[in-house]
Amino acid sequence: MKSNKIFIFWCALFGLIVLITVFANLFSTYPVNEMNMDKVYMAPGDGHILGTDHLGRDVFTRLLHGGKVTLTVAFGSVLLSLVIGVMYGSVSGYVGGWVDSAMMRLLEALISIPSLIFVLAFQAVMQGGMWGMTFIIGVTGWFTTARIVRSEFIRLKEADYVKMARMFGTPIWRIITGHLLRNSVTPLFVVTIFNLAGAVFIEVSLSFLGIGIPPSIPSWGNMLYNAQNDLLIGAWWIGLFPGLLIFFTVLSINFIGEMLKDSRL
Amino acid sequence: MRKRQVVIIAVLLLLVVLAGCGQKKENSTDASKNQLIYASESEFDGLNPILEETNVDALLFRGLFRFNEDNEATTDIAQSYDMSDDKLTYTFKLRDDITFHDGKPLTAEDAIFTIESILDDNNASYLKSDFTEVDALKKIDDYQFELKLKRPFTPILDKLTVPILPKHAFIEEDMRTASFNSHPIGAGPYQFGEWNRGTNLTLKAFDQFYGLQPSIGQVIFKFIPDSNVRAIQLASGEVDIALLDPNQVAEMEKKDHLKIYDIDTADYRGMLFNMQNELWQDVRVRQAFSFAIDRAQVVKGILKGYGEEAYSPLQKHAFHNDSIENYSYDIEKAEKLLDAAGWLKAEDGFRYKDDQKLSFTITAPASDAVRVNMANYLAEGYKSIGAQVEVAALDWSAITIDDTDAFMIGWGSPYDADHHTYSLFHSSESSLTSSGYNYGSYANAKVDELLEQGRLSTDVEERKASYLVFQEALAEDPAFAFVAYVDAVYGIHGNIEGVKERTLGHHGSGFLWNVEEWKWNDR
Amino acid sequence: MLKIEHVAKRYGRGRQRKGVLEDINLSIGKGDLVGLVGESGSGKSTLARLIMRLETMDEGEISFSRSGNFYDSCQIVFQNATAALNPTWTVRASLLEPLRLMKGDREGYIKEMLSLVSLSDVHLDRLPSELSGGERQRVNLLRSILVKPELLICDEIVSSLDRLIQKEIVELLKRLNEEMGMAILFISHDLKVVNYLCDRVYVMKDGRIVEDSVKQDGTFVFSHPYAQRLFE
Repeated sequence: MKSNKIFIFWCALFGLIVLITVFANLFSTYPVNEMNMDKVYMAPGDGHILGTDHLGRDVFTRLLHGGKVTLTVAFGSVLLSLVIGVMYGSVSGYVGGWVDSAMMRLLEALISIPSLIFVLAFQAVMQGGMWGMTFIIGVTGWFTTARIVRSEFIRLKEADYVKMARMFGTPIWRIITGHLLRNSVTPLFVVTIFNLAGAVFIEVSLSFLGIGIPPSIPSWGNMLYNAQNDLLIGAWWIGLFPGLLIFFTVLSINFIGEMLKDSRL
Repeated sequence: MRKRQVVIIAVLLLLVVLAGCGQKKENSTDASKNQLIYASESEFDGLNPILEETNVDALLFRGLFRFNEDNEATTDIAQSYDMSDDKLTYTFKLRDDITFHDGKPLTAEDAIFTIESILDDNNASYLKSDFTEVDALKKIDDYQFELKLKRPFTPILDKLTVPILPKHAFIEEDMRTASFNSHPIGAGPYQFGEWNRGTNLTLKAFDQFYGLQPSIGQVIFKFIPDSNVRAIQLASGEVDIALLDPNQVAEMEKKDHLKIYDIDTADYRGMLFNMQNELWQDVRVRQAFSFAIDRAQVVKGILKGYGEEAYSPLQKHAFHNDSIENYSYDIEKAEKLLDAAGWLKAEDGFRYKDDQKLSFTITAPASDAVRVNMANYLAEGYKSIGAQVEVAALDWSAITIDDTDAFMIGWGSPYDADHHTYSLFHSSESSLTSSGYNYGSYANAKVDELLEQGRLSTDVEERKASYLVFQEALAEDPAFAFVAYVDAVYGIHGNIEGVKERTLGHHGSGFLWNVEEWKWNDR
Repeated sequence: MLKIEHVAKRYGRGRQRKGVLEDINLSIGKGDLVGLVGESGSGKSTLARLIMRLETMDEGEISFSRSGNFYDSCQIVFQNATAALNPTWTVRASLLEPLRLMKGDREGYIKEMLSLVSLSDVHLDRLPSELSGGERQRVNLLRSILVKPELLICDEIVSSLDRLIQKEIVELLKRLNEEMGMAILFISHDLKVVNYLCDRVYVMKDGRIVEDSVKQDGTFVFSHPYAQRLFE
């Protein structure tokens, strides 16, 4: 199958990116924050395969470590939003009635506001570090998850096996986890994949605007942000490589999600 | 939604790739216009010169005295003055041919009004500490007045460069809320034209100016907080003058239509120790962190050579003392000092005292790339002496300097030695209890005393002696870890003539000091 | 044991309100084998759901003479075994579900009961999708009788199965009735099966019970024309 090969290609690409960032320490050629004022703005080449930045730090090394930060924030926040989304959606979908109506109204209101605005507002209140960012993206990224969980629950709670379970006196938490959530895994997985791409995107956007990860910690977004100052000087390598990695990461996650959606739903 | 993300990222990427080779825009402004567009780093809240210092002051206002090319105060609106033998009473004679922009004559009453307004606590003027030695003011006639001091205070002539406010503009008006503040009236070479908040401020030449009639008809201050945008607009000709970041200079030098002025300043950068923080109570800790800065590398790497290593606030002044401790880079000394202060290195490479890790945060304004870079460089360097230092680059609006652990401060003045020393290091000037600039609540009795001596003695040699010792005392008990003096590098359109260099102040302010002498040689 | 008196159920609101069940009277005694026949849409399944307390009625009364947890003594088997089993659970997990509160060797009990429905240990670790239609329905049935209810309601449980498996299941029900004294309410539109299995039958039409009859000499006798036509 042709599409299967493409799928494997994107999975492998994403896997590779995750792998080299997770094991950044093994691959990196310099200490991540080592500054060398004698070697600022070195073009890719000798000793620094992707060049150095305005403080003489090795771009390749920072790229790997930056990926670790960006991906940690993305994975962490997606996990958080998954938990919140599942809880919110579960209550709304399982309880139903006016509780559901009220919760869905609220959710619609929240969805209608672009999540970037939420994140900005949060960020203004709590200037956080890496975990702060993770928290912020997490608590603002669960809306779609909640919606999916709710609609799945509404569909599934009328299923005969759920009725049977109620008659057998199975406890509610077991009905929710064993019957309802177990059977919502596929759509949940797909939406989570897309959330992951979204989280990478938000981290990068915020850091690019200079309001994300603190500048002392490298992240892909931070690197792009700093690269703004360097473009004028013609130091294209500082912005290009993080840009490419972000591009391929988001692209591969999106393709993986898209293909999962098509094949499993 | 997803597609859009991909598109946005693709565009971002494209920008990243293209931006390096993309700035080829031709001069877009109307070259025939006899106007000057200045890329202003920041906008101002108001234009009242006794409430806020702006780079527009030099154009709109004039004072009794004015700093010349050598930063010495010379008579301007004051025609002449006499000093009594006890050095306590000054009599000023004003020129009688000066009018404000609104046509009303400038008289002794306006001068008296200005000083009284500065001293009036209701106005909370940032200049008050400059005039606290003034005892009484007496009008003799319309163009003469007498100023009495409590104690002899030679810097008073420097202080009298303060812009003169028109008394008639404040009748029944509160200084803080007066309409004057957004529509100022001065006696300077340019008068207020139009102010589009958030965009630009236009000043027009004042044709009844008593001095040299300006050649350039309009000066426009365009507010561009982002230094890259300033540089790009300078390169494209959308603005005529801009202050450049050091790393932009090389690229701007390649532009044929630009002239680069690398101007010496009294503008230093340093790390302010906020004495509110327990950590800095021990002077040895502050000394250690002063030793652990590789200033040569900062000047080389971050300032690209446009600056020099700093060790004293008066380094560029005639009273500079170069035999004080200059804290040249010495990790060993720093480590010894920390050991002595009880901060001991643990297995993890960091120092601890009473189970507390040696760590703090340096705050820097995010819009100032040089300060952020310095903060990052310092933080990284401090690792080697076992300190965990974070950097918080925040928007100015989110910064309260007296709440930080340490702050990348920028200060300096090319004028009288009292300027930007008393208000920074005297304990009575703490920003917590006064309108002074002592943000770190620094207090040292000896420094206080020397600063007072310096400001009150009238004999130049005596003053010099005081300030020499002051620098020594400050170096022994540092309030800042001085890092570097930064040159003001201005990019300016090559067809502008008349720029006169002089040692500039904070953020290169004062570059426009003689703008009425500037002219376009092609317009 | 089960007594249904004057029960009515209506759906909808206002003018569109439609009666699904009207004036239903029905009773089942201990160990009875009762049939409930009628065309689809006649209200049989609704009645089953009312009995199982899955819905509330609008009028009348249903009394069940056993005290304690209702669902321990009354169980239902749904028509669609595929929908009645969680597709992500193994047979073992599904069978353990009703035995949550049971003490002792649950696994052993299940294995013992498996043979009753002609299934073996190997089926325990399979997913419903790995079973045949007949096996699924037997698992479904077994799950409902694990708690040994006194009344079992079978809602069209053989309709979608082929004859051979139908026969097997019907025999199983007969055996359960004989060996455990389990009363069965067998809902079906398949008269042959009802004729074979049940001792008593109720005929439903348009939400009403039009006739009930007790088997005499192996057949039912009806007076109502609809019932007669149905059983011709």
